[in-house]
Amino acid sequence: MLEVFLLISAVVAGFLGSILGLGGGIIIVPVLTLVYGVNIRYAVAASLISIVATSSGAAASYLKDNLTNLRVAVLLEIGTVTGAIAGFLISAYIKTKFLFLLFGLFLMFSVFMMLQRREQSASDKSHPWSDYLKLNSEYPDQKGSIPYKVENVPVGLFVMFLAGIFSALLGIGSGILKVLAMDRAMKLPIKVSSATSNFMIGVTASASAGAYLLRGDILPEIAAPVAVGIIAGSFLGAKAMVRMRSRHIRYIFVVVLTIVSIQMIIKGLT
Amino acid sequence: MNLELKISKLLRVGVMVVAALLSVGTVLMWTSNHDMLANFSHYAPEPLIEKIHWALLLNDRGTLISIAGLSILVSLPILRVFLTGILFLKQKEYQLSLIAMLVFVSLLLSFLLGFGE
Repeated sequence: MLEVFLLISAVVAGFLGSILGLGGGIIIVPVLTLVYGVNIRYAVAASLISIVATSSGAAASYLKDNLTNLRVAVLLEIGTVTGAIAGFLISAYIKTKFLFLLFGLFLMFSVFMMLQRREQSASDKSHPWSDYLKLNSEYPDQKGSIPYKVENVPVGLFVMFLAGIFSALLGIGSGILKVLAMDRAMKLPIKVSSATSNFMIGVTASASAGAYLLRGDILPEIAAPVAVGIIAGSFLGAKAMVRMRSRHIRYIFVVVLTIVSIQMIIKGLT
Repeated sequence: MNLELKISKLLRVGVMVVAALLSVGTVLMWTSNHDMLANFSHYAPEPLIEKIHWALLLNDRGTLISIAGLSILVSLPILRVFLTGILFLKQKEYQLSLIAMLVFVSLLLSFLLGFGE
């Protein structure tokens, strides 16, 4: 019976993740650890697997809208993948309690960012690397094509490195950090940074997921049903998103996720 | 961009195959009396090679099919990065092709680290 509940929880996590734009990872890790008593290391590894699945499955739809900047994505993947390697190496030396604490704090930060209004800050300056690698591009809007320039590439790469570490340690896509770096530092248009971030998440997660799979952190008994559930849930979420007023759901979940983050922090402190 | 879209569609097909494998694997594991959620509070990882070894010995199809699905899944993004690198090379975008290949090598390296631990 518990197995069926696990599958249902994963469907719900995938559904909420895609509606809230958070990704399933930040929801399924607390569910596995707090509700099912699964060790956080197994939960993190199972979550990474489902992130690879949802991100790889959706990559085509992100490209279709011509919003993804493929050149920026490929360059920044250097940062996220090396970060993920660092995170995997560090994970062996980090105590379980500290992982709970870190997860709780990151979840709280994510909730805070959910409440922030993302500001559009277009730039007319372009970084030398952007010129060299032809990163500057344009994106479609109602008024036609809007050109944009890419700033602060090294800062972006550094934040991506941090995003990779968090991804490997906490089993999340780190979309929030990625978007933050692209919006604020690199001054990409909001739509472009969202699409590019989602496009990159699968590669980031696969770097540590592959290593965890070989080391044995990924238990087929948990990872398989969780991945199936999250794939199904996020598919349903994408379908439902058109019809639902997501703002109301966001406010409800700001409360729920804040409570969950406090529980994770308490677990890390006791 | 069109070819990149084709790569991504290929990836989506891959994910569908993986979802099918993992569904079958899950059902087989459930029906063969696996202790699905027992003892997972204690962390004691068993390397993948050993897992496969035991599953083969016990003829545990559910676990084997699930592992096949999981292995294909983590390889999909690597394949994508590799194909993107080839794509840039064809377009004579040598710098970006080199960067994509660097990402590809880093991904392979990260997998190798899983062996060493």
